[in-house]
Amino acid sequence: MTAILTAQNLSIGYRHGRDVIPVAERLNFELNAGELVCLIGANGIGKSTLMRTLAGMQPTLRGTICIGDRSIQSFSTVEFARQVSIVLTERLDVGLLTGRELIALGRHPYTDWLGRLTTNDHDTINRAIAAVGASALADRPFSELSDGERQKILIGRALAQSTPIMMLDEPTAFLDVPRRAEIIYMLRALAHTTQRAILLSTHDLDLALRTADRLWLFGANHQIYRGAPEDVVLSGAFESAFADPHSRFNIDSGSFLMSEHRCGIIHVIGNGTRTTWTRRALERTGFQIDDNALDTVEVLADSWRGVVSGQPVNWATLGDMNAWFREKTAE
Amino acid sequence: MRRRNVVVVLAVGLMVAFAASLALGSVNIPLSEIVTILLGGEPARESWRTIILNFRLTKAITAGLAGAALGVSGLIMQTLFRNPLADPYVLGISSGASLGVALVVLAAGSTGLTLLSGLGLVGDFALILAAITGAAAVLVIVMLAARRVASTMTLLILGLMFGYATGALVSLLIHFSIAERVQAYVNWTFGSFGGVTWSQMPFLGGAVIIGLGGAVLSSKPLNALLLGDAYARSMGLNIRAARARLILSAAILAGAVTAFCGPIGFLGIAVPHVCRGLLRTSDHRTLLPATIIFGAILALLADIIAQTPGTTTVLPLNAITALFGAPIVVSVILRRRTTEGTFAS
Repeated sequence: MTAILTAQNLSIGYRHGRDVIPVAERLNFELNAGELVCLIGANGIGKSTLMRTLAGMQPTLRGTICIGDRSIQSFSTVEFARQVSIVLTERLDVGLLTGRELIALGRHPYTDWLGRLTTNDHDTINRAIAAVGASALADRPFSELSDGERQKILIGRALAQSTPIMMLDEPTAFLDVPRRAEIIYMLRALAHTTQRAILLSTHDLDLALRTADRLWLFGANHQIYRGAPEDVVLSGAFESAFADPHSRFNIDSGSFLMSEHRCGIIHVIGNGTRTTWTRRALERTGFQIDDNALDTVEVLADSWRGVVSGQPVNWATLGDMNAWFREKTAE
Repeated sequence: MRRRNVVVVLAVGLMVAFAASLALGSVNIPLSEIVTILLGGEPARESWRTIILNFRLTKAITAGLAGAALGVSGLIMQTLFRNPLADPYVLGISSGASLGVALVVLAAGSTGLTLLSGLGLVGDFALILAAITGAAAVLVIVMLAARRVASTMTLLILGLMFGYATGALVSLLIHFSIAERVQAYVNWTFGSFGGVTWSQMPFLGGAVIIGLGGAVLSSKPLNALLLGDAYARSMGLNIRAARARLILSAAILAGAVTAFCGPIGFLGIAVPHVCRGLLRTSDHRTLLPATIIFGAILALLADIIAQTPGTTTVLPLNAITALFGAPIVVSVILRRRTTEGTFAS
């Protein structure tokens, strides 16, 4: 594994006149070639500050960031543009540019004073279009594309910039669930096949856990926990970083649960898919599932039978069951 | 292929508009006589030579230069500020020029100042000097601000506020001035391409060529700026240097035209939009040449209409450009609403 970018003793944050407002201090980490790194953490914890600092858009407070063996301050704007490409969250209004024209702008650090494209540039652009699966979109105006299609074009632009490092700020923010998975899997494939280091920030914890080669978890104590997603979870850092009165990370199931248990505990009898979704329905209503509970819900082949406070009750659907419990709780 | 056709049509259109501008006017001069005069021959009447060479030819050249300059200046401002309604005057350049002219016309004593305002002519060199000084003063302030201010949007707001402040000073000057001087000032604000003499032409022409050159050399940065400051920087563009160069070009173009022709509105907003619509592109390598040619055509047409050929009446040029320009701007706004009717923007 080759480290492309290394940070040593790095402090990030803001300066307002003489005031220094640190967001995180004494960070040490590296980005490796061919790895997809997902940066996660609660809102406002400093993910964007870290990304902006690494992308050279904001000065460091202390410490160094090196690409290869050179500090990023020693790069000229054009040299840096050949090392790091970015994809931002902001919605772009680019007038009448087509997808291909927008992707071609990625060649900016390599073209002459008039921005003329050589055969080599055209090859790189075509490869980028193919790599993001945008061949059918390339000649349509960017403004007419859907959010997912736009994201592909913007990633294509970053690819055309031919940089060893790519940073994306919440690339899945405006997308529906299948599109999110498509974009992240595409980025992971790009990291592996092109040996780029790809760093992306996301709020999509489940997807990050399932796809990232490496997770960077920005914890509440302003430290960054790094490692394979599973290692980060097992260390307990995940649970504490997202501790919240309304939800709780369930380390056994790897998903978030509502932590309001206003209905008390209940025992679910049964197994299989119907039982899993019965548990979810009860948890949604406000129960904590507990095998020692006196009240029970038994999963039958075509209905559900409950024994609540010693009284039997039958439901045809999970909706009926939840409605019954809601009414009972309201009494 | 289609783009090349548009360029050919534009080039032919420019020649036709230029010829029409020479041929049409309050005095009827036969086309054959105009050709004779231009080729250096003897016309049937000596006065025709003066009209063509010293009045219509200078006016046509001035209109062409002014239209190209205002169009390109508007294109630069629209891209730089990522605002479709930005125009050459957003940074307060015309306000600065107006303040300069207002100071000369309204506040200066009566000594030594003669204002030719009878035929829509503003021939006084002091006026031009005042306008240049005013525009340049604003330019210097804006450039100083641009070096300190990181956000392009902040700069836009500063320019607007600066425009309001100078406008207020002009209002005060008008309030305390006598009627004839106010009239002379108002005539200047009507705008005219007819006031530039052959001796002044090198100054206007030189400024416009420098400004257009600066813009054409900046097509690559302009294209990068379509994606906004952050992306442009990430692609290796030195934002502050590029912005300074672009503002300087736009200010020279708008400042020179305002100084010699008065504050001419709407060409700067309308020309780039029409060119984008005709060529269906936002690529500045195509848009810039098209804007130069189409700007010249539109200015020539506006001037021909303002001269109301065959009559001795001359309409205010600014009224004509506004009557042309306003519908174009309105259509741009309405079209944006329908094609980009998203919740986010």
